[in-house]
Order: sequence, then structure tokens, then C-alpha cells
Amino acid sequence: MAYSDAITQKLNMTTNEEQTYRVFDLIVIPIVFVVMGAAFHLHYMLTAGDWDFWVDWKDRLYWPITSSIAFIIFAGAVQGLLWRLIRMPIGMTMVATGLVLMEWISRYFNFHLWAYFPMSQVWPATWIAVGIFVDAILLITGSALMTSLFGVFFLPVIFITSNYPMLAPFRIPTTVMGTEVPVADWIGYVFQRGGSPEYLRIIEDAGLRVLGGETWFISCLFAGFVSIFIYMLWWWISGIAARPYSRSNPLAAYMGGTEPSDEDDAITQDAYPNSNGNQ
Amino acid sequence: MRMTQLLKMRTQTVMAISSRLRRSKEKNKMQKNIRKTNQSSVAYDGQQSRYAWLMMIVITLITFLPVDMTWAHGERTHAPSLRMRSIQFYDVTWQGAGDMKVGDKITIEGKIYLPPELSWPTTLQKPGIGYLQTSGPAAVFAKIESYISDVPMIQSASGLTLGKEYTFKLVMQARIPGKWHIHPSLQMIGNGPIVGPGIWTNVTGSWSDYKLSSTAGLDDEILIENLGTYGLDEVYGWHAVWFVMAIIWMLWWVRRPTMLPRYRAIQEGVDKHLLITSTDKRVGILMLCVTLVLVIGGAMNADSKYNTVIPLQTGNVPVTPLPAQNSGLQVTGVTSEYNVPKRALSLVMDIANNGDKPVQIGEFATAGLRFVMDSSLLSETPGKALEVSYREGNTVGYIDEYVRDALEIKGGNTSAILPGETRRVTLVAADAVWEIQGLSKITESPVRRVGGLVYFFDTDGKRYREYVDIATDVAYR
Repeated sequence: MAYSDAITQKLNMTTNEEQTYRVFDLIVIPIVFVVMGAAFHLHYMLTAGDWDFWVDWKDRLYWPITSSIAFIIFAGAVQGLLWRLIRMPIGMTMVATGLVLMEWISRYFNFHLWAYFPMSQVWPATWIAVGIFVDAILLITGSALMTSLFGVFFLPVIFITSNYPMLAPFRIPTTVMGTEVPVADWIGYVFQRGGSPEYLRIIEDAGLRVLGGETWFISCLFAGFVSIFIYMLWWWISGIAARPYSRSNPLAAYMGGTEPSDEDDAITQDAYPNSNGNQ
Repeated sequence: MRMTQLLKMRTQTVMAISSRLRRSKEKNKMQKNIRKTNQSSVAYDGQQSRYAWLMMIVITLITFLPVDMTWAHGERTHAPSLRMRSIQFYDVTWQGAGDMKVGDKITIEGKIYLPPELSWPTTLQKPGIGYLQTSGPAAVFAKIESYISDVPMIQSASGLTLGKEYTFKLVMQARIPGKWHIHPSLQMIGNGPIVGPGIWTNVTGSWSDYKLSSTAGLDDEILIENLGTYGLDEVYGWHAVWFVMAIIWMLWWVRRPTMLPRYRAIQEGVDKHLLITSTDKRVGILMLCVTLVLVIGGAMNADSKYNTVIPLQTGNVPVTPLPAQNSGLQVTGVTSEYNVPKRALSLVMDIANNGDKPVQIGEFATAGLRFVMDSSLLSETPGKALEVSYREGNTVGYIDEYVRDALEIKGGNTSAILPGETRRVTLVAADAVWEIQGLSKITESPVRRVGGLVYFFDTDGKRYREYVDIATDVAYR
């Protein structure tokens, strides 16, 4: 499995070192992918929850806003982390893919097989187009600020537009008991959720402050604007996480080592000088 | 010169001291941090508590402690004072229940009575908006139709008013094989569901046999062969496309050294063009373009294919109650008592007949249960009317387990209450069903009040119902 790369050559690595690092990659990358996907899934289900669970919650007003903000918290942080630590613009794509994969697993085994909801009711939205889009903007601009302005701002638009081909068939009208409703509403009506009556749906309604028929556009605009700030906040927080510190292992005695003394029991900043900022 | 040197030395000394102070502060700060993050001290080998084994045994034994069983769908664990004093389901009938095949329909019909405002539990919000559905395990039945007061209930009902009654109808279709208990239930905004009486069904067949079809579109031009799988081709197809895109993008990056070499390269200040090459950027631009083409093209295609779309429909549908009855009866609760060993609820009430016909008491109904008098104790017409009210036909009627021949009038005076007469009556409903249904837990309730509907029959066989709400004592012997 020997290979050579400009990076490893520049670091004067031996073939043995290269091989070891590659094995490390092969072991760690799948683990990171699954763990990040599962953690993101947990976060996303707790924040965007029902809007992603059900086809009759994917509305024009709240779905873009809640989903975008819930998504960018985790995805922005991971993107920042991977960019700072290994300079790879794949953080958002990676967690978006992990998230959607975990959602499919949850929807199929949990919602469909266990709770008997049909897949037409519980299919998840995709975030992968958003991930690739924002990652590519980061790659091209090389800047978090530029990415937030030219990438994250358009995140809700890309999200809604990339999901629209899947959603459109569920928005065509049908007649149920003499009332015209979209197919999604009929699905929500037929396959009932015992603990979730219709009035609990938080979806667009017809208030006096209704957005003049341009609901998609304005909710995406607002969601994009808010997402910029959330993204910058979490990019900054990921910077704290990326700062390497080391300390003596307090569990050393359990692993055959020696108990660290009090003098050793202190956090020391890592030897690398440029570890806490952008290059 | 000397002065300058002295000043220079002094400045250097001050800087050194301030630098040392700063380092010392940083060190203190770090040590504080470590104290915060490492509260527990190191457990030394062999120094764990000698009673650790005892704790393990205790924890294991705790798992064997008895726990309360959850009954069916939880309706029996609802607070008795709420079940008896909020929404009353009555005259409920089930058509088509029992042994069923996938695709068979069951029709549940009946009435909902909302107690008057004075008697409505203070722990519940006033029901303005409600939603009719069934309680049961998830979507094992498909809801085909539902109505309150003959108004379709695809959306929520508004205008539910205390002191009024409404009809309801549910048509459910068996979808998943299994043994299911199915109840009508009314969800009330701010409160949650009140569950009506339930019935067991035994559904056989295969899940895959279930299909619900219809048409959609302005001119019904789109055929929905099976609602459960409708639209999934697009969903699976687009998800597959995006997964492939993601895999291409990620593989492009992980084909080169990924984790530690890149990390080291950044820390050691290796030329950034080695980490991100111009080819990487070109591929990035290509991926961006392909993504935008797929996103915009896909949306435009969907827009032309499904050119008439409508937003999700919400809002409430007003419902009107049934006309008020004119019974001329006035029922005032005096006292009530639940006797634990006898499993008997006795209700003392004053009944004033201000109508123009004699009436006899036939039934007391609460929480979906019906305690009925022995019809032979009533006059002929009222007696027959009482029987018809719960035994009409063999396949359609109230479930036997909820109809208890257990209502008596203390003292045995079952004679008609004449027009103009006021009589104090003590009704006694003694049956094990109080225990079975969990209503005997009124003894443990922070609100010891019972409520229910008292049914009267006049000489023409006409039935009247009056609501009664009384504080309850408990007798333990």
C-alpha cells in the first residue's frame, strides 16, 4: 500500500510512515463519518424534527427557516473544524451525507417498519446539494466570511430547490370528502399520528401578515440572513475545539503506566505554534 | 549615557517582571481550568470501596421492583376525575369490527357531550379547537373519513362549546395485520386527547395487500395507485443522485493523504498549494456547476411536470352542535361516595321534574361506561326504550364489556318522577368495572369529583340526559 504524495514528500515521511498514516485514514475516516452522522442526526431530529419527519409539515414558511438554522449549527462547526485542522472543504458534505444516511435508516426501520407509517409520509429531505455547494464556495474563496456571504446565504434556496422535485408530486391537489387539499395533507390525514393532531402542525397559515404569496422567497431570504450569523458563530466555536491542548493521562495507572504527579497534572498548549487560527 | 543605560535596564527589568507575571497568571488560569474539567480525583488501584459489590446487588434488585402496568393505550391511566368530568362519548356504535381482513372497513359513530362550563375541570383548558381521530397503535388503520356534526374533519374543528353535544363518525380501514384496540378520541387544543370506549379487532392478511388509490390534479389527470408508495420514485431517484455526487466529492479528497499528514502539514507550515492544488479548485468549480445545474434543472423540470401545486391546507372548520333538548328536568348533585370494598359509587341527587311527563331513571354513563337499570323495573315503554338504547341489533351496538347491568336506586323506589315533583334519589353503581377501568383510582386523586350523564325515559320512551357533577368521599369499609 505504499504510495507517495506531495504532502508526505514535503514532510520527509518514510514509506513506513506513509503506510501507517494511510491505515489510520482507512480506520478513522469511516468512524468519523458514522459518529458525526449519528450525532448530527440526533441534533437535527431534536431541532428540525417534525418538519423533516412528515411530508405534511414541509411547508413554505417554517420548513426552510427551522431546517436551515438547525442544519448550519452542526454543519458549520464541522466544516470549520475540518478546514482548520486538515484544510479539507468536505466538512459540510460529509455531515450532510451522514445525516441523510442516518435519516434513511431511522425512517425505514423506525418510522416505517416499527410504527407502520408509509415511506411516502416520512421520506427525509436531502442536504447533500447544500453541502457540496457551500463546501465548493469555501474551496474557491478560502474564507469563512466569503463562504457565509456567498454560500450560506443561499443555503435555504439550494435546500428548497434541491428538494422541490421530490416534494412537488405531494403538492398537487386532490379532493378528500369534498375538500380540496394537497396530496401531502391527505397522506397526513389517512395515516394518523396518534399523539399529534392536525392543529399541532406549525405550518404556514393565512394571517394578515401573510407574505403576499411569495412565502418561499421571503422565508428563504430570512433563513439565509440568519444562517450567516449562526454559521459565523459556530465557525468561531469550532476554532476553540480545534486548538490542541495536551495533558498527562490521569488514567495512566489503569493502563500499565505510572500515576502522574501533581506537577504533570496541568494542561499545556500544544507545541505547534499555528494551531489556533487560519493559515 | 549612564542615565540612559539605567533607564534601559529598568525597562528591561519591568518587562521581564510583567512577562513573568503574565505567564504565572496564564499558568494559574490553566490550572483552574483543569480543576474545573477534572473534578474527580484519580481512583487508585485497589482503593475502590469494599462495599461496591453491595451497591451492584442493590442496583440489580431494583430492576425487579414491581411497576404499574400500562393499560391498552393509556386511557385507563388517565386521571379518573378528568375521564368522568370532561368529554363524554355516548351511544357509540361500531360497524364491521371484530375479525377483519386488510382493506375491510370499520365505521364508528356516536355522540360527544361537553359538560357545562361550571363543571368543566379547572385543570383543563376550555376546548375551542378539536381534532377527531382514533387512538390506537400508530397508523395500523387508515382514516378514510371523519365527521363532526356531519362536517368533514380533514382539518381541525372550531367552535366546540361547553354544554353542547355533537355527533361524530369515523370510517377506518384495516391496514396492518394484528390484534388492535381502537378507540374514537377527541384531541382538544391545550389539553390533549380524551379517549372514548374502544373495541378489539383482529386483522388478518398482508400489509402489502393494502392499497389506497385515488386521482389528483386539477382534472384528475394523475392516478395515485397506492398512497403509501406514491411519489417515491422521485424521492429514491433524487436521493440516489445526491448520494453519488457526495461520494464523488468526498472520494476526490480522501484519495490523497487525509488526516494526520495534512494536519502535520498545516502545523508545520507546508506550502498551502500542496494541500489544495489548482486541480482541486477546478474540480470544486466543476462540482459547483454540476450541483447548480442539477438543482435548477430538477426544480424547473418538476415545476413544468407538476404545474398546479397548492400549499398545505390548515385553518379550522366550524362545527355546530345538536339542538338543545327540552327535558324540563333539573338534576342537582348532593353528595357521592366511592366504596372501595364494594366497588360501588353512590350518587345522591335532587331531581326536579318541571316537564309535563313522568320520567324514570334508566342509566348512569361516565367515562364511556354505561351502568343500566334492570329494564323490568321500569314501566313497559321506558324499559323497552332503555334496552333499545344499548342492544339495538346484534352486530351494531355498545360493547358488552362497557354495559353493566349494575345500576340500582337505593331503597328500591323506581317509580316515575311525576311532573312537578322533586325527589331525592340515591343511585348506586356497583361493579368490578370501576377497578378494571382504573376509575377506582379516584381514591388517590387530588381532585375527588365524579361526573356523568343520568338518563331518563318518559312515558313515550323518549330519552333525556342530564349532566351531574358531585364531590366524592371514599369509604374504605
